[in-house]
Amino acid sequence: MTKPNHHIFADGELSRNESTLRIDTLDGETKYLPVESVDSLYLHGQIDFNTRALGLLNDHGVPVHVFGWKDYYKGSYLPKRGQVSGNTVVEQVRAYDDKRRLRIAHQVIEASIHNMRANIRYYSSRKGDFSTTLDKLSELKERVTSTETIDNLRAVEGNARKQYYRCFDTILREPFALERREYNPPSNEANALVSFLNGMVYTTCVSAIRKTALDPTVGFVHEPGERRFTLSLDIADIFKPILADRLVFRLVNRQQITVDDFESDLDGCLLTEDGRLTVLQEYEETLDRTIEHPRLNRKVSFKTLVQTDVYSLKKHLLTGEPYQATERWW
Amino acid sequence: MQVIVVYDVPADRTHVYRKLLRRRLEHLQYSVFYGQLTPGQVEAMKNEIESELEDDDSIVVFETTNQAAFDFTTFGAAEAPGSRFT
Repeated sequence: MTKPNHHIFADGELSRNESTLRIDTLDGETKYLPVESVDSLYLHGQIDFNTRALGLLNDHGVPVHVFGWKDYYKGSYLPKRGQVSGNTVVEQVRAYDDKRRLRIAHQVIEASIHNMRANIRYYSSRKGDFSTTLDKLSELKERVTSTETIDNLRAVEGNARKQYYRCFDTILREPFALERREYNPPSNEANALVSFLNGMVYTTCVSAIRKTALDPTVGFVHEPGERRFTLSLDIADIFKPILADRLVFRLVNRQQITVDDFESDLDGCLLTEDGRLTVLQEYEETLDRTIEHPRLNRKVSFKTLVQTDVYSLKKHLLTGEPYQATERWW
Repeated sequence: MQVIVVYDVPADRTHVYRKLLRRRLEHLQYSVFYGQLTPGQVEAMKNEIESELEDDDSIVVFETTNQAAFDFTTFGAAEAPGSRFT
């Protein structure tokens, strides 16, 4: 069982009280959070907090993800590393520098394409005939192993993603349509939904990586040295189809989210606060969904899958055991 | 596992258990706590309770590992336990 996340939408103050977290909202409500039973804390509202509160979060290894205006991801306060292992970091950087990088990148991209294809296969015949896309994605997945440079690999991935996004408009119930993937700012409702959920998947990966000694800034597919945690971006690519895209289809097709849950602003389109709340509730439920794991011989939640993926990568770096990026098997 | 803890202790000692339980569980009502804990957390909690125990204290820990068999209904002003949103 993984611990649940907690999201604070209210405005107010977060403080330490009797060795646990206390939230005083501007509405005059006081709530206590069991600090030992929270995985990650998400701040969506305007929250004041001090170093005593951060210290407590630090003691319990709880990362805090901060969102700003319209829930744009701002950054994370990560606890002091619980796992310190110079060994791991050295091996991670070595792997980035030697031939292991390409092998790991192959795994990530293969899994990513596999998971995209699994989504399309699910909706094939339900929503339309996607056989050409399915063939194309299989072909691209096969091309991965023979691709010998990271740049070409990224081109293969970009190609696959383009094929994949092209099916969205057929799958999504009208009037939702992606048309083309656009962000910063998202140009329409479907893009806004995809962007918002991709951001959530990213933070889920940041939290999972923090539980290991891996350095989140050294990724294998994405080039390190950008502002973001590139390893989180790598892992997020594997899980976006599973955690985000499938949820986008479900929310739209079951009309849990409608165009009324969006507002247009500065020639972009964004979710309203109500819309974000609905999406997050469903996202949290998705993280909790469990499936039988063939190797672990028990049921694991999707959130645990992200964690085991990261563990597998770490084990690969340290022992050379093959890294198995998560490919949807169910 | 699902855990419910209730206590009935002298007024000047409630803070002892309140503090200990709030770190792990949701404070539902004055002397009622609920949450999902790992077996390790439950064990640690029980040990801590035991080390604080005095003659007049009364504490009951309910626990079940069968999530499917666990349900609740709320009435009145009660908020649904286990909410992840504030």
